[in-house]
Amino acid sequence: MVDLPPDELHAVLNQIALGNDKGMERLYKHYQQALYAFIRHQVGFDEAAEEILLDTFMVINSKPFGFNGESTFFTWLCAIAKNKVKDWLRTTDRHQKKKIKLEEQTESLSDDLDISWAVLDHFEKSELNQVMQGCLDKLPSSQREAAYWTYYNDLRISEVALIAQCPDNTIKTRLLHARHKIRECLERSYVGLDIERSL
Amino acid sequence: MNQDLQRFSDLLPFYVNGTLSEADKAFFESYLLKHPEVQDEVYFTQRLRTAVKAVGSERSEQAGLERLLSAVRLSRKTTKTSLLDRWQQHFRDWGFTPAFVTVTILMMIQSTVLIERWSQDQAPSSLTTYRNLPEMSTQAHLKIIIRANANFSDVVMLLRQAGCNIVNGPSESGEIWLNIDDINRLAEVSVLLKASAEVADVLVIAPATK
Repeated sequence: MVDLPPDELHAVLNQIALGNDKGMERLYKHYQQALYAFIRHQVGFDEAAEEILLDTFMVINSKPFGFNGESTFFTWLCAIAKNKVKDWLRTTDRHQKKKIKLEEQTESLSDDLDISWAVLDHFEKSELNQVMQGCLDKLPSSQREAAYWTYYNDLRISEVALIAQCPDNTIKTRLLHARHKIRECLERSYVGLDIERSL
Repeated sequence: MNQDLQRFSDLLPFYVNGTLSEADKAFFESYLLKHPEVQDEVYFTQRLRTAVKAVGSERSEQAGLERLLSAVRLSRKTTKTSLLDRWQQHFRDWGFTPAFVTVTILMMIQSTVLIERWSQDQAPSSLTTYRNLPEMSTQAHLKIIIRANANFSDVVMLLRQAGCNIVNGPSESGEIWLNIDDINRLAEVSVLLKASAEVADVLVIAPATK
């Protein structure tokens, strides 16, 4: 994600402050896709991600000069979005929360399964994105976030660690665990071992 | 896990996203050549990156824009409230109705006025001093009234010369009650005091009995 050039960003924020729709339009068009992806990685639901995306831009609308320049503008947007995600999690009903928590739990597989990295061969190319995204949604939020910054934004390890405010080794561990869990999840999906749990 | 494998595993995501340093990249590719069995994991991770990048990729640039702009325009209308409305809303948010606030403010003003009046009342003044004159422990022989423009130090000198002692006063109206050392000189002292420029009047009170 490449931020708008500083001059243009400043001009756009000025337009927003003055109530000019063109400013918000420019800002939205530039950032919405990457921000949506960030939010979607956080919450795992398309509809919730849309709502939170809207709420995040409304915050910018009400405080266009809230950005203090200590991070990149996009990172700042993500911080706002993360707070909105927390608000959403607080207001989400218990049923939904339990479902999210269960999906985040690690499930150990039967010893009978032969897990290999070639698990992708079991799936059609056309369906692989969807299946992998489903498995990503089941990861703990810290692993999802590490995956987002590494694979979506192609950041260096040090940059990811700075955003996540943790050591490099923690990020490495999270990414390693994420890979292994997704592999197991794909294997489970393939052999039909997705167990429906009653909530 | 041996060290090289550990290093390979740590570097893998960053090889895939193209952010490795030249040295790390060289190690990684060398390891890959020596261990072809890890190629599946590399391919898996590349595919994972593709899947992560695909999230939201189907969204158009305009997706959700109209909805956002409608919300922004609506928020502009609702923020154009008058100062009075905002103050009213602010008080309502605190649970105060306008009538309650008005009464509270009036009571505060009234209390301020009352406190100020009371403070003035408490301030030392000649009136207070007058009201707080102690009881005379010795009966006075004379009462004089000093003139308004009299110099009090001159009055004190005069009273000393005349052999008088102040029993009470001076009051707000300039009255001083005196007794004299020698009661037989009462008439003489009276004339002396009356003749002075500082004294406006002299009144002989019933002489004290020894």
